[in-house]
Amino acid sequence: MRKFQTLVAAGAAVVAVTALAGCSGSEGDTAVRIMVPNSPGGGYDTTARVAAKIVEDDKINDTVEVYNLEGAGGTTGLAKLVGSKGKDGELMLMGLGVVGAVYTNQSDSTLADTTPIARLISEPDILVVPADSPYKTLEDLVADWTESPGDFPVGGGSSPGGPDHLAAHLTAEAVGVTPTDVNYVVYDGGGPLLAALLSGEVELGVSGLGEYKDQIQAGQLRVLGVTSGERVEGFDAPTLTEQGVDLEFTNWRGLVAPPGIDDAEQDRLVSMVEELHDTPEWEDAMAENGWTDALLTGDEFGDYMSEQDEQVQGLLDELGLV
Amino acid sequence: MDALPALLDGFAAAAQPENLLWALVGVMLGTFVGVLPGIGPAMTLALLLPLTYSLDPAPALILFAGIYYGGMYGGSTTSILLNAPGESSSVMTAIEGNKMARAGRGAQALATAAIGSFVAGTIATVLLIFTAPAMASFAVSLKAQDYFAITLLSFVAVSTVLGSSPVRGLAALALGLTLGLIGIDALTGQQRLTFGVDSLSTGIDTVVVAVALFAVGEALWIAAHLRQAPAEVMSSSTPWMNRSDWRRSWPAWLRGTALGFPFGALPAGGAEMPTFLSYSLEKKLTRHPEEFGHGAIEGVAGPEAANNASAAGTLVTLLALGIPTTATAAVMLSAFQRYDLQPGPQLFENTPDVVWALLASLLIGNVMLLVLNLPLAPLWARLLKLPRPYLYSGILFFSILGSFSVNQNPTDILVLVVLGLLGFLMRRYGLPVVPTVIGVILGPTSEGKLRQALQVSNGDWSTLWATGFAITVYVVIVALLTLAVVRAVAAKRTSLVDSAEAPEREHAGV
Amino acid sequence: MEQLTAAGPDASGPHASRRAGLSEFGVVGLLAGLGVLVLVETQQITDGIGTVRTLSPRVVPYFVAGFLLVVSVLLALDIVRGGRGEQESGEDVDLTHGTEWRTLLGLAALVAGSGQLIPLIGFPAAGALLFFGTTRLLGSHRIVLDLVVSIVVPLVAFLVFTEGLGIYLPLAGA
Repeated sequence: MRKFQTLVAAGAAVVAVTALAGCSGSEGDTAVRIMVPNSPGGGYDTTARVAAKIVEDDKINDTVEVYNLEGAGGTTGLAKLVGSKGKDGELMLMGLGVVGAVYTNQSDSTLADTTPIARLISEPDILVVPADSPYKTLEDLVADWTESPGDFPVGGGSSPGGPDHLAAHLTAEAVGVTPTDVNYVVYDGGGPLLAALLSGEVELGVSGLGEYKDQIQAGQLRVLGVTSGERVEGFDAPTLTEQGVDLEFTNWRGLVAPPGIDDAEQDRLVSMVEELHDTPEWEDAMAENGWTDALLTGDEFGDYMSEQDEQVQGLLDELGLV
Repeated sequence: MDALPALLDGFAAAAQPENLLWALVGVMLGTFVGVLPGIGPAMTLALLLPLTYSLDPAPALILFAGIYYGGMYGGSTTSILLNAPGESSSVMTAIEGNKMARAGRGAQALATAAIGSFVAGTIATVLLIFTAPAMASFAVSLKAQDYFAITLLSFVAVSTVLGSSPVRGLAALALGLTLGLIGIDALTGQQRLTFGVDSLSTGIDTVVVAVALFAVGEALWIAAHLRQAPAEVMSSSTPWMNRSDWRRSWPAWLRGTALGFPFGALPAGGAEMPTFLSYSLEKKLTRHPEEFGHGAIEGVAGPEAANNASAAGTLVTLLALGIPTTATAAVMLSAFQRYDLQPGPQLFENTPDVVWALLASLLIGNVMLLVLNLPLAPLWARLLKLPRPYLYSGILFFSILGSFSVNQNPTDILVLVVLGLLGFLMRRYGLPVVPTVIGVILGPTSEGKLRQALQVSNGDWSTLWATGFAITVYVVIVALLTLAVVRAVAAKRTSLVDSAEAPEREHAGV
Repeated sequence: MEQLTAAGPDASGPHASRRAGLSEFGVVGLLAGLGVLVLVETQQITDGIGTVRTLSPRVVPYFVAGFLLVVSVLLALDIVRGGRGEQESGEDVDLTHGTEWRTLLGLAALVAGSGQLIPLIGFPAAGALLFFGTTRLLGSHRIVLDLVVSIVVPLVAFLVFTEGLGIYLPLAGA
């Protein structure tokens, strides 16, 4: 008898709780959630939160919630997104780093599984040395680097397969260092890499441009080269190509949705991003963060991703990483 | 710029009613969030980041700093009362703090944590104001091999928490090191001990390990041996610290501050290692060694001071160099950048008004924290008077809530249960859980720094003793070990002499 | 597991104490087993390119495996010499009775089960189930109060997290 009583009570509890919580739910049909697959404060996180804020403020969409799901270079988040098949209002912020992480972490879920929404921005990488480094130009540095690459530690803020890792190896190849000889040291993001640069632990740092904008302006770091095709406005640093190094490389960030959503939902999310893109606030935010506009939506973005995917795979293959 | 007049200007700015209000809101939010399991200060700051659009720089940063300090303090409450550390930096607080609470001295434990946090926070903030540039340039001069040496020192210090049976303590440490191996190797991207389970590839979150071994393990252990007779009412004669509590707490606060502040400033220092070191230091220096393991107040005072001082230390590297040493600091950095403030050498020159208002409000926020929390301590302590079923149901419920909200992953709950059962077995067979948690935290750091140092040196092992700092640390380690061996030998000799004399006396007696 | 059961702390008398000693070897087995497991698993870790100049990702796992094995031997020696693990005592703990296996396993199953239910029936409902189940298992007999507490606590926690802090927790089935 007691057992039965307990069971009935438990059942009643479940019903009551679900009903009560249901009343409080304020989320309408239009709510959008953006997952950031790495830690708060990083590049993906900033991009997502800036975008969410503008979308909400300009009433493009009522609620945009940003949350973090860290782990394994973004593939933990990717697996979760692919797992929520057909779910409306879900987005994940991602970029070139996730493309590489899928390979290095042998992730079962890939970006081809997702529904492409839009590429938002691009950002070149930079080669930096501390202000007291003996290297004044890329040429000085290359001389030492090629002589003994093993004794020339190069630091980057991304894990193997990430943009800094790719940029470091591509640069090496372009200046005549065998990529597999590069002594690439992984740091857990921009902060630790900056510390390693200032302590002289690494000779050269490879990082996204936005990461060290302030330190460069303050004169703590010196830029030896930018990986974009043209000089970045408001940024007194030569490109690699104008120094005779044949390399153009840009990191990019965008949004993807779960697989299996219908066309109407894809269109809704794409037009939300397009509206965001047209706001003056977004323009300001890009200028402030050193991002370049790189809007590419829907299936065109999907094609771009598979292109990038092939390139990254080819490069990692060459490096013996896959 | 002269620090003192600038600081006074800062106080004038921070004392404006509006800024005072933001500081108050900050410390309250921070404390509240610190008490909640699973969401640390970094998460809260990220959630509140959009506020920076609508607030002026000074109030926004004041709010943020308040949350940070409040969060560092709030973690101690659940550690002490429920034996459930909300973040890894309050693990050491749980050891003696919860024993005190169980002995009816929860209010005193909370009080020494609150006052210790205040003392440490205040001293460390003053140090931050006057020594930031010097401290920062020392902090970034440390390299991977120096950090490796520090982790070795911490491992040696762990020996003090091995418990009554050293071999069982080592076994517990080995379990922790094993758990620490799980996940993707950061250097090479290879999976280690993940057994093909996707959600293990991230590694096991240290918060999940701590909550499982401490809170879940304890709840299971007690549930399986629950005293059926009504628990006797705990004797809590007075909620305030007595003279002996004060006398034993204040040196521990100061030592904790001295350890926590520099560690916080180190780019790879963090808040955990100074709490380990502080606990073992207090255990070595105490005049009441018999109380350790049964609720020694120094064991709460030291680590709590250390973790709050490390929060101020973090700001040294953040403000002076623009290097965030914790996730929380990384979020604060992006808030700075939102205002085109440049943390770094120029910060104090370009935007002195904002910086000094921030520093002054840190001091004010500290006072607020104390005023807010000291009267609450006896109230919080009443939580332990809840009927046992509700208390332990609540602990299990909040453990799930905390572990689930970190990653939204049900598999984490399975990990929680498995490790909780491990915590049960460890209690049954006398294995202390603290070395396990320490192993999970220290093991990966130690390995990472060793391999990083070797990689930078292109595989040359002599790099490990190539810096003066590392050599100094090794000398300290050798001295500690020698001292321990000498003591052990001396103790053995006395006991040998005793036992050798005993039969003689017997003989003589016959 | 059977061995552990046999070694309940209620065991008394010379015969039982020998058996209690036997169960201590379960810990030795756990450590040694883990050691072997780590050893075997480590052999399957491949080198990444990053390890050309530093330790391979296998070195430290091998070290840990060795440590586990050494400690298991030391512990076995200690037990043979009569060393016994000291059970943790506490104010709510009564070691004079045996282990309540039903309560223990019931609680573990409840925690694991309600964790899996969160994505299916939502956090508030799963939390209420857990809370209610555990209070009953822990011997509470005030059914109305139990019910009220079990509904209110998870609901308040849910609202604080989602509405107050904006941290997502599932409300109902996905």
